[in-house]
Amino acid sequence: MAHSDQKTPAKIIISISALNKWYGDLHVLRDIDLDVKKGERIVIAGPSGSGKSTLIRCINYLEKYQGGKIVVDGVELIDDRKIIENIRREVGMVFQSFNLFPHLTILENCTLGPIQGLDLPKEQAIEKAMHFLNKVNIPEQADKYPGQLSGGQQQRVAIARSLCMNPDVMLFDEPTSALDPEMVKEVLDIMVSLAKEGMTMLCVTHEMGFAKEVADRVIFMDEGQIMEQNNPVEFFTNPQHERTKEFLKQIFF
Amino acid sequence: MFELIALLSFGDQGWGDELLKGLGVTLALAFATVPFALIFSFLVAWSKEAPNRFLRMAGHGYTTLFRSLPEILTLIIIYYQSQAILNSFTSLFLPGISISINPFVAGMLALTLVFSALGSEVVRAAYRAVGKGQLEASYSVGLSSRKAFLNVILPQMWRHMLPAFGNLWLILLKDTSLVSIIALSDIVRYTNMAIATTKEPFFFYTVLALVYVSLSFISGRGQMLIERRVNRNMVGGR
Repeated sequence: MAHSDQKTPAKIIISISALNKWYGDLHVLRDIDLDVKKGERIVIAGPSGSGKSTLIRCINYLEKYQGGKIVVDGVELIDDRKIIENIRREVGMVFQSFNLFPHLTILENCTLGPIQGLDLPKEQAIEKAMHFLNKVNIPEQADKYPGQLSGGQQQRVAIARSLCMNPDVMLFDEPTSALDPEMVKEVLDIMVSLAKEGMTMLCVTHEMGFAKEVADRVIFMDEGQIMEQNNPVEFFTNPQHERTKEFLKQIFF
Repeated sequence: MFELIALLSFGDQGWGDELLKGLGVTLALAFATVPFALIFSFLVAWSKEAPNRFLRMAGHGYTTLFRSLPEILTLIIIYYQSQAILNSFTSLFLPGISISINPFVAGMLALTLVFSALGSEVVRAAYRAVGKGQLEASYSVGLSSRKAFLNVILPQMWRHMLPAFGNLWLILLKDTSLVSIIALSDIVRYTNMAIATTKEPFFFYTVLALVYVSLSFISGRGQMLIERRVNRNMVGGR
């Protein structure tokens, strides 16, 4: 894992160029260019409908796109089953609505991917799952079912489930938006500790405190375009674009 | 009253053994149809959700056709018409040989067609009820679509399908009575034979009704047990 204080030039792990996507007539992503370096933490902000979720969903091909290209770890995303499956194993994703598997225990939620996707032996998968459940502070819930857990706990399981695949990159799609306010912190704490360990992260979130604390770069999107990107200090204190200023005024009252 | 009960005894005098035999045929037909109807329900549902336009059209056409035809008409077409068509074919190549379709097989085929048309809608609704999020989550941990379906989607579909399939099972059980018109000796046919001989229609129809009510009661119990088992892990919604 590359630590942020290492001075070796970081390699580019995700490269997006001239990405365009339409839903019918609706142009939802317009000429997106974005390079993500290994170990970089990026927060993507913007009003709803700006295309930020769609953008990160393109990275593991949950959304198809009509123009441009995405290269993940040297491999271009093309409509090929094997390539897509491999990229999805390297790119973890955490969803707004958790999407845990309700018919499986917490432990089984975490071992399904490694066993079925990576062909890991069951014992190793369980060992790994317990390691990451420990990391998200809920090893004692391993034998329960998702429905028995609080929202915050479920989202932490979802993070552990992704980590069990040993991803190179983690995508977070508004991970705290569906949580009760008092549970937001327990999820953000996990994300902060992940960031501190050098995980490459792309987070779509409205948690500007999180952005200030860990982001290397904040990207502001509107109407399917990247309007502005900067380091968090500049982004919050000296926004360039009119639309960014307006947005920041809205979220900080 | 006692003479009536005696009519249900086994042996030469009573109709008990014949009715039991008929019940056996009724149940055998229903149980034999279920696996085929289930498999076809999934296949037809899958074709209706397929990316290929012609597959989708075929699936919808199948559903529309067999949902709109009265079951009895489907049965008659399968039994008589297909027999005629088969024979006109074989007479071209093998003159003098006539093929007759086994009424049990014809009944199974007709009931499979009808119940897979209805069942495919149950499967499709269940697939949608499980939700896209589950599929996306499976993909995100590197599962292929086949593994995602088998490990994540299908186990959750049963919960949504069972109540509707329970209903279909009851309708299927009752629709087996239609095969009595194509010379298959199910319980309805034996009942009619008993009535023709004994001239006791009220009694025998009452017995028949009680048999169907008991079957439905037992089915309901069975369904409850299965549902409880399938739902045992579902605590509080998502």
